[in-house]
Amino acid sequence: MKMNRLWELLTNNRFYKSIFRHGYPDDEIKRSEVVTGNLFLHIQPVKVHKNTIRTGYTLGLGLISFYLFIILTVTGVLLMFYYIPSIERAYNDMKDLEFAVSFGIIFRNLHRWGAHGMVAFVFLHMCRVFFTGGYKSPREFNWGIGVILLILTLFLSLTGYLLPWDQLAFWAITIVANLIGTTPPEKIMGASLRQVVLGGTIVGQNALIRFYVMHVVVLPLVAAALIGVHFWRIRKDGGISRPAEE
Amino acid sequence: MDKKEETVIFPKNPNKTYGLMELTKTKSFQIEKGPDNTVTSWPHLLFRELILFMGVFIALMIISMVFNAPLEEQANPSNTPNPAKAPWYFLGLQEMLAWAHPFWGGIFVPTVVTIILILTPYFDTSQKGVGVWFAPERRIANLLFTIFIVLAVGLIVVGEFFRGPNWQIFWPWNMPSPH
Amino acid sequence: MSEKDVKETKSEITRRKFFLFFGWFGILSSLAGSALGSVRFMFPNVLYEPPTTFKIGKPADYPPNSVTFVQDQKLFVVRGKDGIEGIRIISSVCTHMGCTPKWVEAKNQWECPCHGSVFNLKGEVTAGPAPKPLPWYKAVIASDGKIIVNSKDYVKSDYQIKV
Repeated sequence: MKMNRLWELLTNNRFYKSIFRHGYPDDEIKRSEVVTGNLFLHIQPVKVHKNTIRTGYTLGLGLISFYLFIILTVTGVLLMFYYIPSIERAYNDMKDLEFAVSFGIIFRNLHRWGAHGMVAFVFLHMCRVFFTGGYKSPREFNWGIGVILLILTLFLSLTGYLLPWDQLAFWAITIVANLIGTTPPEKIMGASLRQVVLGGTIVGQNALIRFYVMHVVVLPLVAAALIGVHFWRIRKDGGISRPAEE
Repeated sequence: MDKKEETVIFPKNPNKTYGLMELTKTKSFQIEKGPDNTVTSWPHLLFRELILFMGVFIALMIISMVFNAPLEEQANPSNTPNPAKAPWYFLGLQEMLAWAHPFWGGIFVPTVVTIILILTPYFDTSQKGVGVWFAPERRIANLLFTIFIVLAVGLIVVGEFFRGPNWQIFWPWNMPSPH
Repeated sequence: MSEKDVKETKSEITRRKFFLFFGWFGILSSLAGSALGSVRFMFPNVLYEPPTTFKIGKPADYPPNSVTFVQDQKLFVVRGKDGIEGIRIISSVCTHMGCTPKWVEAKNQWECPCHGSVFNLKGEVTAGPAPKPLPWYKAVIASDGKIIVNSKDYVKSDYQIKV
């Protein structure tokens, strides 16, 4: 009884009603208003096919990938407050995050393991879509977007693990730069691509700041935009794939 | 408007659960429709999504509290670690790098695989077996994709567990410890 | 579309079409120009990198019949190996992916840890994926008695500084 009165007190006022313009969603109209009236929820339809919520069909793999992307964005922004992309300071900042910053190690662990998880789950999601034939017409384009999102995930991971400027980072940049340098014709194309990636001819400060900008601004923005397109196309293509109805 | 004219102006898309309503002179647009196969997103979908988020977050938090993220020694341009291994998801690439001119294993093969993946739906156009796990009508497509997965994962396994110092082949139980 | 319309769209350049063409041309060319400028922007004109010509100490610092790793300059100083008595300088950057090969005295060869390339005493590839041999650098003795190396100037494997 008390809870009901508290609920009444909190919700039955102009402030609450200006934000949520419908009552508790206990009938179909209010349930649709929940979705259509909310910027973040309205990317989803008011009604979904029963197959969509069958756990055994999607296994939630795409959504897990998206959740990891969200967690990575939040923890990544937090880590940026302590990390300075300088070859003199980067490694010490990592040590500080581990030993001197409150919960620093937790946020670093969340970010690193979340990234590993995202690579794995994006790949598993692709497998799910293939084995259920979900890439077929009219979803061809969205499958392509998905493949590009997998590549972007890999590039995000690559640019990310270079930032601590430890041995792994240094030799990974070295290998990646030289690998890009082998694009034929090597003397023209390979050499200039290598120069763009490194911002010079050696692996140093210029290379670190380039990978940093890619990791924290360029790639996340592109990925977020493509995730938006990916979700949008799910709706425009008629929801998640499902067996033809009799 | 008669029925024929209607379908010309508003073609029906059988894949959509909802769409532009038909123009009709009857009392309700629900008339002559079969039983509905849809449920409202609230609460059926949204609560499942919320529970999944809690699951993901809790699992990741537990992993992060138990295992620390790797951090190697500070970068040292004069000393390459032996073996210098990339994280697991790039070990397949690294494995291919050791075989031939780096352009083929490192750039050509990944680019071609990406293009083939993107173009797959434009070649495989049959509509049979959509929406069913491992549909028997799609045996060949599924088999090809399984081969792709086995190759990709196999290369990663070789790189992770069978490669030791100087990128030589070792059995996992004979693997020399680093340094 | 009548027959007359078709004729018009094919042949005549109306004022409207003229402006439409130049409008699109202007928009697209300014976009292309900005894109090219952005690409050029990514190539730095001034680099603050270590010099490619440098001194690495006196010949006496390197004992006979030895291979010494000079880590700051990323090279090996080879003295008195392979039947050549003088001092020779070879790069320590693997031609495959840029890792640092290790000198293995017992086998008289360099072994790269990244992808298993092996280089013999001449710098030639004897195993692994490396596409090119390790380059030998030109070096001379400066007036102060120190060795000057030019890491942009490659020489043959028998080029030596007589000691």
